Amino acid sequence: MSSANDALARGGWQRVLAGADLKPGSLAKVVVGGREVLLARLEDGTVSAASPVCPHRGEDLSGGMVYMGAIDCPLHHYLYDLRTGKNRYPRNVFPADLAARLRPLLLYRVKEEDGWIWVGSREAPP
Amino acid sequence: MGKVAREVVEKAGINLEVLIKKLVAAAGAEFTTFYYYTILRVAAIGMEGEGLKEIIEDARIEDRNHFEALVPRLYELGGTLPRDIRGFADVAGCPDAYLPDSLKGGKSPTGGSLKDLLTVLVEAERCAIRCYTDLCQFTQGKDPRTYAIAAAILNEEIEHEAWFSEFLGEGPSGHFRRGKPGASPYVAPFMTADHK
Repeated sequence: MSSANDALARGGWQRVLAGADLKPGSLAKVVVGGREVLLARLEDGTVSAASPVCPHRGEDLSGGMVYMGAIDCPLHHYLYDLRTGKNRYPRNVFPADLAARLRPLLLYRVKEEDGWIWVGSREAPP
Repeated sequence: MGKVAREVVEKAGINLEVLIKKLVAAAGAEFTTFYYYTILRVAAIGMEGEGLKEIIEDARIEDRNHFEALVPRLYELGGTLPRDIRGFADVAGCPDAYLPDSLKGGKSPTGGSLKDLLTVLVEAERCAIRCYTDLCQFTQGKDPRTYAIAAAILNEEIEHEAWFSEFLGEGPSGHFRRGKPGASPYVAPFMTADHK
């Protein structure tokens, strides 16, 4: 992490991107504490911060698309809810034994303040 | 493989490796869907199931046609189908459309086994729509031939979604059944095998 970022980090939060640079439906990859984090602006204007690695087969989600409040993985088109991290599809149609094996997407705390997007250094609780 | 066919796509700025990966994934999704829809179709029985059987068959054969349309383009661009069919199924661009638990005596998440079956079908088509929307956006303005094939398939997948969602009672129905299963009004020009 650069000294500039160190100076920006307060109370476990790191300033990462100007809010205006993340339009509705778009994605942006940033680095927080040495880890890549994927930011998404949902259709309702809220921001989500998640791991950019798909829990299914490790695909880079930054090539995916925001779809009805979820991230659509570009490889197998699994859908992960960007507010809860839960798999939305194919959990809703898989047999119970296979649905139970679907792992959630890791989320990070995120807030928008004074025109900037801030990501928390700790992961959001499941 | 067409040398110039490959070159023009690369010169237009498309990463051929990524495009070939997307095409293999799309072809895998169509091939596995053809397989799984066979299982779903045979499970559609009874007073309500028999009507559903017709549109499952329409979608099933058209999805097989989509595989037929994608394969020549894949090879034109220098790609290949995977050597092993198990590996091919593994890279399919959409999750497998399994028979719902409720049709095997298990619990129903929607309250009805035929509704569960329809949910599997409509969500599979929605996945296909996202897959081909991605392919269209990737190739638009850069690879007219792949774009045309992807757009043709997308048209049919959108119709498939509409058929199944209308069966679930979602909205007025613009659907009427095909003249025969596998008519593929949009994709037929791209198929190498005579499907008539």
